[in-house]
Amino acid sequence: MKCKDIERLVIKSSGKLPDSKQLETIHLHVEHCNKCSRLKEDVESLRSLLRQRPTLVLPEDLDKKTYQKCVSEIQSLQKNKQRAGFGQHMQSIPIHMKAVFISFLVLTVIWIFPFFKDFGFSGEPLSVSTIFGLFWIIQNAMMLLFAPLLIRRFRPNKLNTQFVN
Amino acid sequence: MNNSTVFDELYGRYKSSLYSLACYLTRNQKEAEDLFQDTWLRIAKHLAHQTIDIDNCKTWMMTITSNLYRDWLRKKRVRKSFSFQKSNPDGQTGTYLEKPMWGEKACLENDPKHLEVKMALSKALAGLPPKQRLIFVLKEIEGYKYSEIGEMLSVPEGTVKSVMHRAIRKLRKDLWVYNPKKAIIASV
Repeated sequence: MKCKDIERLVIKSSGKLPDSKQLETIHLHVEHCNKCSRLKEDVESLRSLLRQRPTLVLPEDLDKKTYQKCVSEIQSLQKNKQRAGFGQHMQSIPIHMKAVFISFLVLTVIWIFPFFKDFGFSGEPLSVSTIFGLFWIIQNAMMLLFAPLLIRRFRPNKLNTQFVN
Repeated sequence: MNNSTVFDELYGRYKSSLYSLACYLTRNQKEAEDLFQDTWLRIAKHLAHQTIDIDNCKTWMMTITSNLYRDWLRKKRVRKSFSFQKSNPDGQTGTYLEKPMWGEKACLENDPKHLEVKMALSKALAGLPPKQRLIFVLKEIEGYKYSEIGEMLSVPEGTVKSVMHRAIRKLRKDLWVYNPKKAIIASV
């Protein structure tokens, strides 16, 4: 291995020893190469100095201040979320769509009039085709009546959060 | 889990490590405090929008701190170019060194001979260019791998390696007088 490779390995190891093969290579190289042995020594002493560094204590006032700021930020975000969500969870149907639905509904109800004569005012029983026709019209009318409700969807809630623990 | 509960958990677990990272990066008490606060405020905002895995979010938090630090450096550079202020009083390329990381209190407990070396290391760290310091701190102090640092900072792994090499070379150069053999400089 060249000096460059050894340098790379020594710096890369970050306090942890590379695998045994690499370690052997480093040892063999370092024995003969003065430059790399000095580099290894320097990096090791630098790391040992860094290991001795004191733990930095978070100032109490900063700790409290930051915590309070963040908690109030979270609360205000939650309030905004609730305010934004109130009454707007359901997406409203545009007016022109409502007009189309109402007109279809009216037309469907109008289709029912031709069947009135078969409604058994004459005392005769209803034919099967009349029953199917009636059923079809009523079904359509009901569908058109509730279509706006069925189409309404919950807003895609971007603020909805899930936590994985 | 409630947002506040998650935040409490995160804050309790990671406040110290984020504070120490902020200190090592900025080398300035006031700026470290600002960076620390900004990081936590950013985290609080993210909590409302993101799914967070509490056990594995340290890297994500470190990324936030690193990105904020880089933004802060950028702003500082712009501010500097529009002002006529003199450069740092200690003549370092890094930020103004108010308090060295190894204060006298911490060093007196140990061998007083080491005080000078520790202070010199602290100064040498402060003297690293910000990009080199960021990568050095993430690698040597926080213990991340090159690939992880690359992902965190959105830079290629090769760049991280070369910056790290440059940082170590500079530190060796700055600290060579403290080596008993005093021959390191020849190899740098």
